[in-house]
Amino acid sequence: MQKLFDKLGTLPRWFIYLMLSLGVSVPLIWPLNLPLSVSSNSKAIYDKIESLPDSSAVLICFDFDPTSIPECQPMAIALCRHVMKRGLPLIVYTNYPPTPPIADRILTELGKEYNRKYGTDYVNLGFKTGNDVLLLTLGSSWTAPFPQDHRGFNTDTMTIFKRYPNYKKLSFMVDIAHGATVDFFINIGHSQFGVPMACGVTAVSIPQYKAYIQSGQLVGMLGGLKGAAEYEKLVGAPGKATIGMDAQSMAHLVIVGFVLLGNIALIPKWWSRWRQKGNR
Amino acid sequence: MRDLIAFIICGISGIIILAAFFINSSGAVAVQDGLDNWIIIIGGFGFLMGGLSVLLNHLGRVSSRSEGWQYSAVLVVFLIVMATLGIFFDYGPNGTFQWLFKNVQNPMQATMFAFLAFYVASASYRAFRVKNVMATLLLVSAVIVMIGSVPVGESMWAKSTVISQWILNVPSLAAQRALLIGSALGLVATGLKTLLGIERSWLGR
Repeated sequence: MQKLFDKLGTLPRWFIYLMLSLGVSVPLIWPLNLPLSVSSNSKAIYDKIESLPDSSAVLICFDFDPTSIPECQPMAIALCRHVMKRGLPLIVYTNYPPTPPIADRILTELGKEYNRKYGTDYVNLGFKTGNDVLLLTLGSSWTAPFPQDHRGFNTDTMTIFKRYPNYKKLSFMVDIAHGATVDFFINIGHSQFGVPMACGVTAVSIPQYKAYIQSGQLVGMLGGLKGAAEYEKLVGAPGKATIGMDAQSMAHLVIVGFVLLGNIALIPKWWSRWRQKGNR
Repeated sequence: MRDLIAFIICGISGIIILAAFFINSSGAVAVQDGLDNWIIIIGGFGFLMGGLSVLLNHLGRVSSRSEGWQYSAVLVVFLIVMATLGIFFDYGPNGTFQWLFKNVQNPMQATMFAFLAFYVASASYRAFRVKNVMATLLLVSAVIVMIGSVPVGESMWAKSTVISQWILNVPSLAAQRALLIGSALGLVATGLKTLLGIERSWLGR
């Protein structure tokens, strides 16, 4: 019996990795279709976009790079889909150098699907260095820091920038981020320019930004893959996040299972300690 | 003298940026925009300098055949290939640059990040052990938040989501707020010390 407990307490790493791999891959091949409820934070963003008047421009910032694509890209697709479906003008830029092509692929596909015109209904400005300083300059003009968009077109002739010449003319913005960019959108974009905003962040950042929801500085938040799956459900277009939820559920169960096994292995130790205390 | 000039430039720029936040005048905003544009331009040069620095550093490792020089050689080759394709050849959605980005860089970076799940699983198994009251609290909270954050938890035990949200919204958020306020006050103090010339480490001293 003691040997069994010892084995439970010293499981080899390869076994943990193997079980986790199976936990992730099996639901991807045979989906469990677990029911998914929508959180108030995701619903708040959806309701905000739904409530915007038809002439409202929305900014979606793609502040993630390929490391966070599995979590952040489904959020970006679902949000852009919602904005385009509603027919609202959409401006996109990024504070990360590798991201403009990712944004371009998403916007091109959705633009075709919803018959939106580039430069009038949506635009991908691409990347520019500066982070918070760039945001300050956008308060005066989009076209000064971005004289050309990601595709090399001149921005000063675009209809979208004639109607919405600077950041302050936006009605709503969402920062989809895997880093700290949300902070300066709150500090400058929301507090200084007064533009309502929300964020989509990786699961690890959820606790960090909950404070801003309670304070009313963020309208809502999409948290991790679950947040993305919730938004896919809200817009009625299940995608990669919805598919991934089963795999994530099983991965969490596997990890919790191993944590419990590691503690079950300690039972003989607790028992002997308890008996020693009793003998004293 | 060199320090004094740098200090004066920093002080004046900082005060202008600060003042523009409070003064709603087009003149102040124009000056602030000018300074901001300088920062963006300097940032652009920073990227160039960073790229060159990486290239030279790894070229040095290859030429001196130092340990792991083969990895440096791969880095140098792909840095040159990607830069050449991006600058001189077709950058469009169907170009080679985009193909390499989509089919090589994207999956490799996502794979590196996905490894974390395996490390987390292994580390959780070894570290989350009931050793004392604090460790037990940590373990119980972690298990509830993990279960309550995924649909399977809700299906197994409906209250897991409610308890998980309470942990995130009350004790976790209280700690987050303390950290946020502490770091914000620290930032204000550091900013003031820099503007007043008390903090001079940015001068390289």
